[in-house]
Amino acid sequence: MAARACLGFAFLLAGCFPSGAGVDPPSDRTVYFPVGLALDPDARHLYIANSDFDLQYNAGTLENWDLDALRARLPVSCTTDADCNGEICDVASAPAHNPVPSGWCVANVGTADAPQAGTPCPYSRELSAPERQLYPGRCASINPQSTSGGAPIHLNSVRIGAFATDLIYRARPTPDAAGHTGRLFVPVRGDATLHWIDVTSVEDDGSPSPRLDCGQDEPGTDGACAADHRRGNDPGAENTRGLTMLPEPFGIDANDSGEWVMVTNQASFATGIFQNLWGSGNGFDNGPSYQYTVAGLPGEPMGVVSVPRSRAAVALGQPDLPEFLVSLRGSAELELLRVYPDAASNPPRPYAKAPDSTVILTNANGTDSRGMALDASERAAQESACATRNGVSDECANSKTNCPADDDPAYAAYVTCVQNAAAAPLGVYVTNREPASLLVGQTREVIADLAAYDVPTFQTSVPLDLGPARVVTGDITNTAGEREPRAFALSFDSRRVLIYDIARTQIEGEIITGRGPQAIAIDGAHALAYVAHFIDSYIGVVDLDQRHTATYGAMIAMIERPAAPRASK
Amino acid sequence: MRRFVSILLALLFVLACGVALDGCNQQSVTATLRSLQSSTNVTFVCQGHTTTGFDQGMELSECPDYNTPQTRTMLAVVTQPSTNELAIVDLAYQKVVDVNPGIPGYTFLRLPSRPGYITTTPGGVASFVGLTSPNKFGISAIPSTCLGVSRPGQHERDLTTFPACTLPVAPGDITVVVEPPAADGTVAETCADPTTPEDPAPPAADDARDCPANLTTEKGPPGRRKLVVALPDMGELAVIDAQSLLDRQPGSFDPCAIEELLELNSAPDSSGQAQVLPADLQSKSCVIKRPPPVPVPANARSRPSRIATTDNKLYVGDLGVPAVHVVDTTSVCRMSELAPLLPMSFLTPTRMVTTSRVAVSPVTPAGKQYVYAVDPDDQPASVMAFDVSPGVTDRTPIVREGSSRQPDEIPDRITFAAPVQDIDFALRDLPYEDPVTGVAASGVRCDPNPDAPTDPASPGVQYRTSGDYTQGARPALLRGLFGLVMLTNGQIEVIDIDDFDAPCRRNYKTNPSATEDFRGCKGDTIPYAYLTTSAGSEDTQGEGEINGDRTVSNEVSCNMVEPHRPRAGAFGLSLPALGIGAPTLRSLPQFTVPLSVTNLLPHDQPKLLAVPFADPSGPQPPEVYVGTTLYQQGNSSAPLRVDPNDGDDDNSSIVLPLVEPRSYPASEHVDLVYEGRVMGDKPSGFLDDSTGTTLVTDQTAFFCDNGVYDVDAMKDYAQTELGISDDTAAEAFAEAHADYVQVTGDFPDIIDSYWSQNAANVTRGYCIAKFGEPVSNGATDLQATRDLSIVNAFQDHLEVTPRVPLDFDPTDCDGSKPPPADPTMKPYCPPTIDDFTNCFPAGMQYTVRGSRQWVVGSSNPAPTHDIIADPAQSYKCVRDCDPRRQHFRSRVFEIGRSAKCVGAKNCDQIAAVGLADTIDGPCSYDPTDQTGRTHGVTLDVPASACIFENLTARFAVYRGLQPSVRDMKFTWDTTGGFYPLAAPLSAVSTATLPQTVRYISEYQSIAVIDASSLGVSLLSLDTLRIEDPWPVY
Repeated sequence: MAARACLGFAFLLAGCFPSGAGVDPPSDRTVYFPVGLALDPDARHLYIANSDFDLQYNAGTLENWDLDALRARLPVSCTTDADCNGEICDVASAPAHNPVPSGWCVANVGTADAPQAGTPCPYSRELSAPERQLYPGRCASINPQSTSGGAPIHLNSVRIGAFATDLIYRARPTPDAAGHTGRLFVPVRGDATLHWIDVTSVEDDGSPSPRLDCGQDEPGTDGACAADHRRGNDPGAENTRGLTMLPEPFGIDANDSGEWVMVTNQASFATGIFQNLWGSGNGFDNGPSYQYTVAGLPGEPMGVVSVPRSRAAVALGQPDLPEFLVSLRGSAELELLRVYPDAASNPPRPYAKAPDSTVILTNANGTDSRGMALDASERAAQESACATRNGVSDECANSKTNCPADDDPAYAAYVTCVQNAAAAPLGVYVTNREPASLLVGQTREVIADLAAYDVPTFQTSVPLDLGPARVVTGDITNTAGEREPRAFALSFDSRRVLIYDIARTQIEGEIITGRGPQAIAIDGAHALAYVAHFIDSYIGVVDLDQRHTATYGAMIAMIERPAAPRASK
Repeated sequence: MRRFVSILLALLFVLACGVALDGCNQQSVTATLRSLQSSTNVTFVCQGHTTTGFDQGMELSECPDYNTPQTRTMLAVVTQPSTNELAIVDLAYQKVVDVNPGIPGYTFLRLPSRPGYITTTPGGVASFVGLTSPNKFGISAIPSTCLGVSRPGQHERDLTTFPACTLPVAPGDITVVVEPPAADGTVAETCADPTTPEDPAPPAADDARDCPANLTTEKGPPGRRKLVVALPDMGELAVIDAQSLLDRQPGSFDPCAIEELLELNSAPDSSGQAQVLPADLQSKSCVIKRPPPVPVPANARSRPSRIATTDNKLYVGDLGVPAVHVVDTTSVCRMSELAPLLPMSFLTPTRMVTTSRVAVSPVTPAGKQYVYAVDPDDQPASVMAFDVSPGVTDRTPIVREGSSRQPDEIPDRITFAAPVQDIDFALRDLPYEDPVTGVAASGVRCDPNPDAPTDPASPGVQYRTSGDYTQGARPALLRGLFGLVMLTNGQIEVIDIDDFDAPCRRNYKTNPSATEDFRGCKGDTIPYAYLTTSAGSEDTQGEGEINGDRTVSNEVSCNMVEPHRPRAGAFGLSLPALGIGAPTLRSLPQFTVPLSVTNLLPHDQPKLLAVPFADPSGPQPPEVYVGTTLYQQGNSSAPLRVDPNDGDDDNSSIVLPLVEPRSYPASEHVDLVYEGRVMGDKPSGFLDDSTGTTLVTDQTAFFCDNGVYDVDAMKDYAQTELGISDDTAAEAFAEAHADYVQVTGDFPDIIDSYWSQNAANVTRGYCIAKFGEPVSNGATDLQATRDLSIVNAFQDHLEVTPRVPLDFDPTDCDGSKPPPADPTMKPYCPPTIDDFTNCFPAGMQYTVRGSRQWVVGSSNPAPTHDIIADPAQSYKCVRDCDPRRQHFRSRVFEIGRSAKCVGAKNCDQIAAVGLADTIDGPCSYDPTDQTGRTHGVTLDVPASACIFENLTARFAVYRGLQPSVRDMKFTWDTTGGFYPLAAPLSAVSTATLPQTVRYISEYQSIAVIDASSLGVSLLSLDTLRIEDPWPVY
């Protein structure tokens, strides 16, 4: 008895959980305390990290949803029947419209001569007014595993450790022999590892593939990611310094190439650096390896974002020293961490340092920063225009390989052009808890012949609703059908997502969500946002197309049936 | 042992139970409920009972109501963007108004979409608020008659209460402009038809409406009320008739009728106007290479931001083009754009400067008027000041004189620690009655002239600072025109613009010279040496005598009040009664030695001593406050040591320059270190000798920005500052004093697998033998083998060579000599570059130090050097001749004594100053005079070039009889530095997100709208504090 109690205390104190035993994750629901969302580049798949937060099951899961199938079930906004491809437009002027017109295309349940609008919720039912208080939107949930209306939304899943905290996706430079096109990284608090899952988003024939690969089929894994896909816990094999990732990993980001991954460890006042190799098969020449711990940060690190490398830096042959900005809880500053790959040393001993930091003076109390996001859209657009105008290939622009000679007039013009583009600042957005605010700033990378500088400064702070958490950037579609960048700040406690208009430097509006919005992914190409609702375990879909006058900034679908936490039942 | 474990487990169990029980404890928590949330914009309405009924809007000047019972009250109408509402706060009763008490909680006025900016007509009859939610852009009209609870028989306030109209794009700022009557007195209803007079009884005036509103009868300037609405997405200003909008059916939301559209000019200004530099920023000897102003991009489009209004002009900020549009609204129906103000940046002319907020000041009694505009892209957002007084043709931001003495100041910007959120102006006077005329005139300035009548005292005399400093001219008395700048962090700072009491805020000693004295005084016309009056009937002192009664505050500087600069929060005095407000030493400087130095006697030590002030009237004896005691040379009770040869006194001393009180941070810690660090430890330097020259490369080091002096820069310093004209001598001085790199890092840990895997097979023991242990491992000083002299410094790399002793012989190490018999006498042999790279893999930790000199380090992060990176020389570190850096100094060269003394045959017998060396340049002086008396360096000898003076200290360092050693240190702390007069909202709550600041002259108070916890607050201009019952939330 004493030994068992002792074991219990040990788990309690360590914040760990025993794996392997217990109830398997449910097969009839695909969202369970979701904490992270990620899209692949062409928004064909949505990946969801479920945390198993109440430890009801013996693992968390990582889910793979088919977004083509999901979008096929979304309502189509309209103004006239001509927009509806055989259906009728449910507007006030339509014959026999619904009591409250939805502004969506609906089935004609009448006749050609006497049309009558059908339900705006063909895959579920309309929510009652009391239900809408908890679950904003018009329609009840859609079952992602249902084939009603077409192929199921849910493709497959793998098991991961409990207490996942976030999720990111990076595309592979080139697919490997197994056809993997990208990789997911999931920090997992339960076993203090970084899970990595290879994914195949498109088969050779172009059809969607359900493949997630983290060794879950290996003997003894029981459908969970194999030990080789959990990194940060093998100091002898992963680095020369004998380091393991510290406990309580939280935030994560990787540089554009996916080679360098940074994880924040909030309880340890530290961050960890992984070097990710795009190899194949098992072993440490494939996947992330833990390399270095940046300890002694002045506060608990929370959010982390990679600062994209400018194409000017590439064109000028500047050394590639990936940079990350880290937000802190308990200290009113942001840290700039720079990774030194140390490739020239023998053996290489990658490390990271904090060459600079910026004090947050924008608020009376700048402590307790949470999420952080960058907006590089303006610079990226200018850089892209430079390449197009001067006929420079992506390969040359991104890695300075197969470039024309430096004295080639077009290439010289390109270099000048991207140097000018590098002056375009990156928007920096940080959510601050007290006072609840969105800090708006920018960082300007100084690209001269010799030096780079990326510490941001903040111009203003924008009021947020209570309990701000993450912030992301992405595009909406404006009334002219053009994409425009926005920052989306989640307020967990207040059930709000604030939409900040980056170009106009003002608040545009707020999205009212269900309980506990924890993560958001923006699909700019389709003007949609996916909101992970932590408390009720479902994914909400938000319309981000301003041409849809009735539904812009509103929930238009709920995927997976909501389930309140056990404690609230 | 088993028993011990059991006890431990039991204790753990008890602890866990305690924690669990505590978690279940039902403690009551008092939750503060707030009715306001995300309060953003505000307008003020005076509302009360008139002959036309209750709840009528009135002019602001009709509030507050001092009658009993009160029939009028001032309302703040506050936008609530997160709930699409307007909240009402009654300023007279300090409460939030619930417009529907029948509903639990507070009910506000509902709007069709997210409220933006809001404004009110001059007579207070109606307010207009922009609506900004996507697809619901427009303007709502809010009659003042409905600012409150519905009266019996009225409908409840809801979306159908107010008329609104839609706009094609989101409205920006809104203001009300009056279209004046025609010459025949006709007030036209529309712009299109100037001949048809307005209807004196428009539909909205119908009393049958819940919310009647008739602008044709409201007070204020005569004419038709027009809304001027900024349309940022269109780059235009739209004119909408206010009464016509009110006349619409309540609850309607049809398109707005736009009478006029003014497309704001996006074209670049072609006048070529450039900023006018004050005399102290002009240099005949220095051609400052400034890049040409950035061309405005061809696709730049106007994007109007905020609007500031005067009687006949609008000043419109712009976030799209570098212009503050000036719009002539003599007739708003035919408004036209005048030549714009031209925002630009003196510091970074290549930056296109836009403006977010603008404010225009009232006209001062002297006829001056200013526009302040916020530069949102400055880091952090700052304020530009434009002089728009009649007759002024300069349309660029004002460039102030004296910026060179304010290290944090940008000459054409008013900057703060946090970004600027909002600005406004406060013009206030507290007029005294003139005893002769009986008139209490406004704008009378304080009169310091001792000849001014005092019996009875003229108003100008009455404004003088009282003897006990509690009355009259003083920092907390705001009498004049001031800027109010609200920062995002909840600080409201006061900016001096035209302080009527400024003539009395100064030192009492006059200086008629056009050259400023050491207190910053100059050009005095009052014909007295001191601004004093007779001290009394029995006193022999008369006007202008040193011991008379002062007519001014007698602060240490004449620059206590300066236009367009933050106002000082304290008198520039250090007195027991007032505390410390002038630059003051906490104690005399202290001297310490590194651990490696022992038994150093006082006369062997270097000496840090004060020197006289330079002054137009000749050298002035040094003096300095230490606490509230004034230390002076020759003062028996508080003596200031100036003679390094004085064997009876081993104190150190300095003086503090007094020209500009804003030179000083509120407090400062200074270290003066021999061969001190020029920059902090850098983690990642890489040695590279692949090009034939040994380089230390570090792209993040910014060597020039950190003030690294290489040989060329030091040679330039020797020639221009120390006066070493001989080129060879200057070169020798430079080579001896150029900075050097010191590798400070440790080697990889002993258990690191690097030692078994590195390709060079270098061992840790080899590295320790070569470079010695780092300080972190217990070394008292780092070994000299870690030093590398800097030959050339660039922003991202240094060209270095091993730093060797002056008497180094290379043949000691090339194998041509037999090894010494005594192994402890082995010669100094510098390590190879391979040694460095093998022993310090993965980037070496290093620092840069000054060589054979003292380096000033300060807790103040402001720059203290004059080094910049020159793009024309591949970003080489060079000295900047920009006058703004003329006082930036951090290098101190020891003054030694000359070999011969004029007043003594043998200097050694009388001097405690070490002998000057051949590489010391002019830093050598004769410590005796003709009579044989010793003294410190005077201002009339070449060695005076080695006197150190920067913005916050003036002194000389004399060499001791023993040579100085690295890390010897003098330290001192100054206090009483400048701090601004400010109102900190954070004193009430740190959860503040201030949005709007407005000066309400009727209340002589500052209104603050806060989006977080403070809601609405009023701060008295006298206290600058939020006091009960505020805030209201």
